Amino acid sequence: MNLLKIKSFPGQEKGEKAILVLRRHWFVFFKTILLFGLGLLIPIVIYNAFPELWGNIFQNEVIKAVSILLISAYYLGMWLFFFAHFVDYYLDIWIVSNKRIINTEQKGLFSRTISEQKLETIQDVTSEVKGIIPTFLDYGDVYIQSAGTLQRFVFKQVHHPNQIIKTILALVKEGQRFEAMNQLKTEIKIK
Amino acid sequence: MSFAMPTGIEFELSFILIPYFLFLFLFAVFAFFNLYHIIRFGVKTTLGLFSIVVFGVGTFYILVGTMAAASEIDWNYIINITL
Repeated sequence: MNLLKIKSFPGQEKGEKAILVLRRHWFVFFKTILLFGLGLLIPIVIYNAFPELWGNIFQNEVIKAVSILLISAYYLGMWLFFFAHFVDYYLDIWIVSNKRIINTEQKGLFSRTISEQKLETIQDVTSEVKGIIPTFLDYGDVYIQSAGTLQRFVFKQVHHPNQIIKTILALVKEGQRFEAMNQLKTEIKIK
Repeated sequence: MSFAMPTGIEFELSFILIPYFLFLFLFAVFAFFNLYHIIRFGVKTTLGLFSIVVFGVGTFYILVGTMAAASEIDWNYIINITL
């Protein structure tokens, strides 16, 4: 489930450990790869469909030059489109540490949202798996509701949502137990 | 004083490289922002580094391919458009 093994992450606090590092399921990005592959094939298919026609057209120096530049621009554009989609996929990341949940989302090239939630404030964690492919590949959304806020945290299209719920709930319980122990210790000291 | 109306336009084929270079400039700007984001905000993983290398190599190959194909063109060829 922990797709990535990382030693550190941006904004890491002292004594904080990353328990889960989550990204969208690979199948979500696979759709982009398919689209990109299709885009790569279009000029090749068009060229191979009418080889004689292109042979005659490319005799003209101007048409040949314009075609080379257009095809080059097309492939560079496609390549950049693919890389930009990868960056968007790569930078959407959710980190569950032993202290909090960090949500980092890249929205386009110039918009980025980072938010966090302390584990002790979490009240409810639910998951949703919708559709045939998500059911087979076991990926879906995980919703995290914290006390006193209307806003929910959403881990979008993550792998093994049910296992994630179990891990988060176990961490929340552990945190609550630790807090209760600390309170007890303080009360004993006061007495 | 009398003005003769131009009967046509003549320019070198290399003129069409200007919009292409403009496109390359825009490509470089967007590529820079994407690379900046992945380096600045990305969690340091092998996948991140690998993607940067693949993007660089892919871009290099497209440009080298373009240069190889464009080297066969006579860019001094004069285009004559008659009005």
